[in-house]
Amino acid sequence: MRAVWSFWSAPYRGYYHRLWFSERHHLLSWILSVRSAARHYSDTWLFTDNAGARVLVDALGLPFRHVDLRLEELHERSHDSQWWVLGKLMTYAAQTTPFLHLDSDVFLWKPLPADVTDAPIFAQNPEVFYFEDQSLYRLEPFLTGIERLGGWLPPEWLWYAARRGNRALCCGILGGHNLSFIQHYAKRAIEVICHRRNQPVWPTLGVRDNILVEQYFLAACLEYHRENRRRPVHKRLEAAYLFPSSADAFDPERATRAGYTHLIGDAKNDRQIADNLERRVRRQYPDDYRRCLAYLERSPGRATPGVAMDEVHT
Amino acid sequence: MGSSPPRIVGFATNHGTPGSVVLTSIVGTSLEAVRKIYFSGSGVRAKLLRPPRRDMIDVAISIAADAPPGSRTVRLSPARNGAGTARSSRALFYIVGRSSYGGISGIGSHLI
Repeated sequence: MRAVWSFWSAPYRGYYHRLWFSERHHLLSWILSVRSAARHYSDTWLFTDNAGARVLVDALGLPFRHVDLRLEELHERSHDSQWWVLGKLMTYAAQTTPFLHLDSDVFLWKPLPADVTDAPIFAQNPEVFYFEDQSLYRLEPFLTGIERLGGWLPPEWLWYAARRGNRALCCGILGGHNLSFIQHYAKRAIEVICHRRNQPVWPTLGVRDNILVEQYFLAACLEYHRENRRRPVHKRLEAAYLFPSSADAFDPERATRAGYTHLIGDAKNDRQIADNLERRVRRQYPDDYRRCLAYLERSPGRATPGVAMDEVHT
Repeated sequence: MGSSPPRIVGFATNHGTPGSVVLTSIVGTSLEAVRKIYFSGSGVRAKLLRPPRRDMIDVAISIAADAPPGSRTVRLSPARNGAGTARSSRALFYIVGRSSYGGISGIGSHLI
């Protein structure tokens, strides 16, 4: 199975670099993600832009078998980089063979089980949310904004929202064999973000609810096409999961059995985890570690925030 | 004949998290006489940042740390003491929780 990563550099530079303890730890996470998964999946692909390739390929020398620069199109078309999920969605849509997409903060200590990777579509775990909570899936403000300003949503979204669907798929990993479905979903999700009628809506929502488009809409697509089977490509749409629920995913024993790490959310900014990440890469991939430090020394602005550079060499 | 009552069309930013202050604008009609803004439920207060315009009010919305998540309706009043004519609006402001991925040590981080 092909292992795929994506990196659109603009949202990282503009926004989500702040999630990481430091730039160094972001790069160390890339090293560990690619190196750990490549032990099980040797056909490694990176979808990125020119700036991303300069860092991950030229500077770090990560062992991708193929590098695709199509995310450069996102710069050329001046897409709103607060929609960081566009890079992932474009990558999902570009797949032509069964694949496994990994976030760069996911580490595979074991190969994924065959009953997961053989599925038409698979993800890390299903999620259930409650409308009153709105901590992750802020559906009601989103729908209110769309309705108020005459925005556009695809039939899958409208159908699922009308049923008060409250499921999503956590996409730390995402992949599968039903490429037609995955491409359909990804293109529709991109259309939601880029649709002309939705552009006035996004600034009124304050934040771009990326996971609503990626993870909630994926559940909407799955359920819609399972119940409205008109096209043969949408047959066999049962999703498989590495973990049966969020609670199982966050259970350390379950994670150990699965051989799976995902530095989800605030874990990226935890000092103890950052230290462990650094120790692991320095010990297990010393050449990569040296290349990472050398790159950061050449690019001093990239060394912050986090630990000062003089601590790096101790 | 009196002027028409104030009416809200929406918010420039329509949500915030507990323990934060959201600087935003209320967009609507006949807003120039508004002096007080009230939110339903507990823990949400608004302060006018400058004299309102006919079509917009710039406000600072303070959300208490213990404000329960959910949607809030808004009421406008032309009087500082809240008296006088007021009009409830269907426009909603949302209190959203912080990410439930936050405050945790990730998945399987002990394996690193």
